[in-house]
Amino acid sequence: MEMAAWETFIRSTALHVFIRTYEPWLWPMCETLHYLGLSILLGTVGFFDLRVLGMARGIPIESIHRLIPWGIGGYLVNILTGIVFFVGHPDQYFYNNAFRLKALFMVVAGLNVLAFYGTSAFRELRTLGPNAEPPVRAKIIAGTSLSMWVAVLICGRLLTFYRPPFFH
Amino acid sequence: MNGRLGTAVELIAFAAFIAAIFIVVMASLTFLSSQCSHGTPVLPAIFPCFQ
Repeated sequence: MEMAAWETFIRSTALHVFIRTYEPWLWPMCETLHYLGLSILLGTVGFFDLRVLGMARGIPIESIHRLIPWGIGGYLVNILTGIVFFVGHPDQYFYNNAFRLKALFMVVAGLNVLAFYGTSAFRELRTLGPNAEPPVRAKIIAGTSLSMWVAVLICGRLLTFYRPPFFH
Repeated sequence: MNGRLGTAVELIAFAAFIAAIFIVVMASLTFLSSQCSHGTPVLPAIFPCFQ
């Protein structure tokens, strides 16, 4: 396959050269950070989703929501390390259906976050005390969130099994 | 419901949930792969065949 213009451009950048030069230590380091980031993301956002869905009812939702900034931090770490992966080996990701599916799930997860904070769903939840039953709309949003992040995790693990049969 | 039994049920439900998501993802990827070996992809703009 002939190299596309966008890939030629990425491979001409200083970031690509830097990543490929220091790949033996940079790649494992970023992989480790990527795993940590996802662990923090799922450990906080996933925990929040599970509480909204009905687990650990004794804990007030507002208390668990204080952990969300940690999840956002984990997400940012994963975006940054994900950029390193993509710029380092763009063809491995761009021509990979597992990566495309992962990106699709991330878009749905992002729209789901907008649905949560952009509507009254979050305001309704904040007022709930321990043992209170969350509204159905909040449960649907939490279920979607948990499904998408688990799917993102699975797609990420499957990336290496769906690599394209060629590398530039 | 008994506390421990409730936790066990929740854990089993969570494991089943993860398994369900895994099956959906694998089925999707298998479907996308089969589309490329047996005809035109359904969503060529997002999931084209990489020849």
